[in-house]
Amino acid sequence: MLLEADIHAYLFLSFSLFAVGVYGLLSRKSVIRMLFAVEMIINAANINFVIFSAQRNVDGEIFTFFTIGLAALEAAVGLAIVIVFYKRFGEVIPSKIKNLRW
Amino acid sequence: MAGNIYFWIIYAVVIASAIIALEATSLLWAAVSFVVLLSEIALVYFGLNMPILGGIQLAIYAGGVTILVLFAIMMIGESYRKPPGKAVKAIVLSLILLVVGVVISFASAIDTLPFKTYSTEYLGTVFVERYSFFTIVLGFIVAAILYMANAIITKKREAK
Repeated sequence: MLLEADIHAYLFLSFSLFAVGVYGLLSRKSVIRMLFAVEMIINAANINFVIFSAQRNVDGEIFTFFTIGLAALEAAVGLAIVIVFYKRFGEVIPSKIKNLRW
Repeated sequence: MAGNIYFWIIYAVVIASAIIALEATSLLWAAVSFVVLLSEIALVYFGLNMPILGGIQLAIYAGGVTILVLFAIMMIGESYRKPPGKAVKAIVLSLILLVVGVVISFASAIDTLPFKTYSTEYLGTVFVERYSFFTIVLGFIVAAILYMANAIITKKREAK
């Protein structure tokens, strides 16, 4: 196998990606970057699923299929909300998205 | 926490591209870095002998989601950017989460078992036998979410 690492190394990769995602979500620079951060957190969870699946049974890999599909949908809905907010207000400020009702 | 040189190269590229995706000045370069991040995660899947999952990661994430994000960037750009220098709490919290996660990972006595290789036939068999009903439910969820996205975009503002 090309990648030779134990489970702690893969978990370290997953936790590191999760930490970067949490930083991006909390620092809240812009909405697009917050979406990047959410995708990073989801990918960290996917790595956890996959690494335990590679050692135990195949269910984690199948669950990752579902997670990837739902993450794509989440990106579609999130970007739809962002575009509507931009059409309505002319700029997208993360702390003002509570004003989306019309 | 042992790994060969390829693993640590992939680790470095993943974390560096994740940070660049959040911190790059140009949003277009941030999107390019995001594609690199997702492709490297697909490489992890390929390295674990999961080619179907790696292909789906490349097709849906590095392909579909990134194209969506690029369209959004072309339509609205980065219309607001919070001034830098106020992210200390976020950095501290994320470092605490990282340390807690690593400590729990080592303290929980998870053993490294030998890695298994699942054939595509076995994967498909388990998928159909155990998760076919869930797939049907998921199809309705997908349709509902896409309908909601369409309704959000096309709804006109009602007169007060």
